[in-house]
Amino acid sequence: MHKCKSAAMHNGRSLAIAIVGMAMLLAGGIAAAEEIKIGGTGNALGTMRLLGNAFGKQNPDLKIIVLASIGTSGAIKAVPAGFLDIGLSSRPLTEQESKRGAIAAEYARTPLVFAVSMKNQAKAITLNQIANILSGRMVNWPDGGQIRPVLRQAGDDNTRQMRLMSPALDKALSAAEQRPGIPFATTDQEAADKLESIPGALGVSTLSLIRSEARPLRALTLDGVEPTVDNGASGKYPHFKSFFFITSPLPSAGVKRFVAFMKSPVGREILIRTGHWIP
Amino acid sequence: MKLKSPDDKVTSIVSRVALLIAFVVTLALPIGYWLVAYNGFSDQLEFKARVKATALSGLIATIPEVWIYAENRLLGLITREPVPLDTEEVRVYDERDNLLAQAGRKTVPPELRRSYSLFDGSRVAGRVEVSDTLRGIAYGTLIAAVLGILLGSLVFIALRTIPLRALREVTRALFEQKERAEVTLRSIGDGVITTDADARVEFLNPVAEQLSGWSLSDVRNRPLTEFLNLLDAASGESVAAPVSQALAENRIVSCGRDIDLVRRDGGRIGIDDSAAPIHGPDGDVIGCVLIFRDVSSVRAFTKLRSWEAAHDVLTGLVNRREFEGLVDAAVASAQQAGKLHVICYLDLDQFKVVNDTCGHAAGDDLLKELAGLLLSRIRKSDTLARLGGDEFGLLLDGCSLERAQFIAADLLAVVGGYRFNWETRPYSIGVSIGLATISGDSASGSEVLAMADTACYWAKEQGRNRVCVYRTGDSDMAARRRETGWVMRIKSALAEDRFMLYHQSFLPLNVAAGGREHIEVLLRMIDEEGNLIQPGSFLPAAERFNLMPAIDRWVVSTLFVRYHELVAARGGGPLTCAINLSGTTLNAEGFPDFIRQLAIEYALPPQSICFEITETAAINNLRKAAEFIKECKSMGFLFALDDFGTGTSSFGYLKNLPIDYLKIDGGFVRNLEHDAVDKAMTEAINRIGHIMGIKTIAEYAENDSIIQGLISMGVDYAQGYGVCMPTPLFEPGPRLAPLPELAAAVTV
Repeated sequence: MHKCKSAAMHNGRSLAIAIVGMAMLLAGGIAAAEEIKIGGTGNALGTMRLLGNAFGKQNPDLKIIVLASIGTSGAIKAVPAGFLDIGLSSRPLTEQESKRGAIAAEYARTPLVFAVSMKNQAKAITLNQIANILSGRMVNWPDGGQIRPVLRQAGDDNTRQMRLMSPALDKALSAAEQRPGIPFATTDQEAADKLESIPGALGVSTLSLIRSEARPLRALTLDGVEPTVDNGASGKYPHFKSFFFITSPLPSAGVKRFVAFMKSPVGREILIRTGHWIP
Repeated sequence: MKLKSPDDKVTSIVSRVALLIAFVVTLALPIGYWLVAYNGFSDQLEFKARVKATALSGLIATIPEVWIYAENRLLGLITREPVPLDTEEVRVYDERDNLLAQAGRKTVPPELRRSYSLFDGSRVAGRVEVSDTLRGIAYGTLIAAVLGILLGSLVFIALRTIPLRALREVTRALFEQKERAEVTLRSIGDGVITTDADARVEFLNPVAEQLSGWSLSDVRNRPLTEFLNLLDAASGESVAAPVSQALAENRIVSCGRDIDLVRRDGGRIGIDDSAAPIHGPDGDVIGCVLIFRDVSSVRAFTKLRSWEAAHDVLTGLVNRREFEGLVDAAVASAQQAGKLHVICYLDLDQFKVVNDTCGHAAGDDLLKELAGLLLSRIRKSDTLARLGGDEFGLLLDGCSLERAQFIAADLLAVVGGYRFNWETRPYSIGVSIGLATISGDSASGSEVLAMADTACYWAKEQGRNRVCVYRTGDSDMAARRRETGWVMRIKSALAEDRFMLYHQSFLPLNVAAGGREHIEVLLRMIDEEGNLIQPGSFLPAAERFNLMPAIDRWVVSTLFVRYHELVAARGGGPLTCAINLSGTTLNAEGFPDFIRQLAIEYALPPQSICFEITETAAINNLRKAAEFIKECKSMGFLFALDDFGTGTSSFGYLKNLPIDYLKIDGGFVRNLEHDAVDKAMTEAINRIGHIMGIKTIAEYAENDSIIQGLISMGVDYAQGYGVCMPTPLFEPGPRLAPLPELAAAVTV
């Protein structure tokens, strides 16, 4: 049931996006509205779409287009190239990237979580258990079901952050990357899809992605701390992901209006609702 | 410049081939490895590129506008999809060949790159390039090269060493075989010529060069018939060398007759020849070998031996055997064709005088001169032969008795008028000639010859130096013929073992003579009807016709073989057997060896045998007799001088003859009772014998009175009818015991 429901929701969402996109395209064709293209890390895309929808209702002259995930690096490259108006990054720019003609501004943070399907009975986990799972020493959930970790690519920001959580996890991750047969996802959305669809799956995600895309996933309590916005904001839950806007140093008026909308109460409310806190 | 030997050439060829194969093997391994590994590696990279491209094309289709910025996703795909990267490096380029993403290990050169296009629909949106280092293949190729070198070296060694070793073995064996064959051909005494299948000369050995007079360099590759000229030795006709026939018929052939080889200098030598085909490995005839040898000497020697077999070497006349054959042929022609021939038997008179007076050399000269003289007086169709000693035979072919008598008279006159001069002294010679005709009635050659001999004998009997014709019915001649008839009977008896041994015991007349039984072995012949024949009937003929050696051998062997049986039959005491030997036997070659061999074979003890030889036989050839006695005494045998006193006896001879017994001739003994001279002679001989340490035996002791007289004289033994009669040796008979009264007289 969950699976059917989840798939139905996902399909419905895709259909809505498509309809909105078509409508915007038709509208553009009619009114020639200004487009603001947004793309980047997948963790932030769901929230951006919510913000874009809210912004669009208030600003019909501006059309917010949220692209599929191209990752932080893609966003950092695409903005100076002029293909994106707003890039979504999970890290600040390096000095070299700054020289290409882009600036970064952190707009929110969200807990980095280890998530399982809502169908899974597991509620909490520890870093040691995750290390054991990734290294193959722990293979079953307490209910006897098989644990199936889902990995991301080595250069992915989520993966980098996991490596920093503990040396044991870092080592276990390296070992897991060499083990055959472990499910693999190239995007945040794909990872969330596989966490939903693969029985006993365990993987890394963000609270903002789960909430903004209404994913049927459960963020596990880590080492006894629940990954909530408050725990994150207070530092009790130490693992979080920052989101940056990457824009041109001279952003367009539309970009400026969108950034302003995001900082508005409506925007702030959406961010908090979708698992962010404002730094 | 040194020429390469065949061995060097073979070595060079084998080495080059081995090197080439080894080189190919050396290169083939690394090249093969490289090609296979490279192709596999290339295919593998190409496949990986295609797989990665497929995965990336899926991404492009999803986000066609921004895929080039989705580095993270690109990395994820090229790193993990569908399988994690191994050792390769993957690069993703956009359509302008800008590098979009790169993952995997940094490729270490040398490297291999394979790329595959990325499609956005049907449009090429970029490409993915997979590269990997070729070092692994390079290392593998290097190892393969090392292995190739090792394998190539082994191949080279194997291909060069094994065939070369085998080739050298074969070459060495062939060389040794060739060397052995050539040395053999050079060493053998036969001439050897080898030719090819066209009979062209290939080889001459030194003997062939020497015999033919041609050197190998002169005739090499020339047809054999150009220089090898063969002639029939008898006819002088040209004869083809057997080589062509051997080649044509593929078999060993020879001329099959006496052949002469005409040398280069024109000289001729007699040869024996044989030609044999030479076969190749497949059995084809590839040449011929002609072997010949100089048989000139052999042929001459054979001719000489043949001539000697038929001729008398001294006079050059036909000898007895040949003459007998001619007489047989004459008899056959008379019987078959009715021809009439005459045989003359010639016996020289006074020849013995010349021979004894002037020596054998003079006698030989006389015979040669007389032979020439006689030959000059007969026809060419007649045959003159020397039959032995001073006897000649003459076959007058196709001649009547009258003409033969005329020829014989002529020969008689010629010989009578001939004077033989020796050391300035002339000697006259006579001849007695017996004639016998050969007609259709003649039985055989020997018969006719015996008739002529008889006639000759009769001519001598009638006063010598005359011609006598054999006529059938002549009683004197018939008697003479009876004597010659004994020859056949004796020979027949010998062949059929129809002789028998008798014996007569000696009576010891004093103590010193006692202790050992002493008998004399006597001989009897049994005729065809089983009648016993006394020796007096056949021994004269045996003496005359030289049959005594055969008879004496029969006696000796018979007695030696059964000596121990005889001793046992006679009680086992010591026994001395006396055997008579003729003078002819004494002179016979090999007789001492014959005795020695038998004595050893039958283990005769010393003093078991006492040989008796007559005084005449001993004195006729004193030296020979002395040697014979000495040799037999060394074997332990005893000797007695028989019939002493009858011949031209001289006591001086006794000094030279180491005899043990002296047998006083019976002629003295038999009359000693009545004849004072005979008694004195007996006493003298007995005394002389005793003085010389010789025991004496008196023959013809025919009665007790004689025996008594002998005892009184001191004679050691008595033999005769007064002692015992002759009895068969191997039949049980009375053994004599010493007479008691005689023993007593001796003792007293």
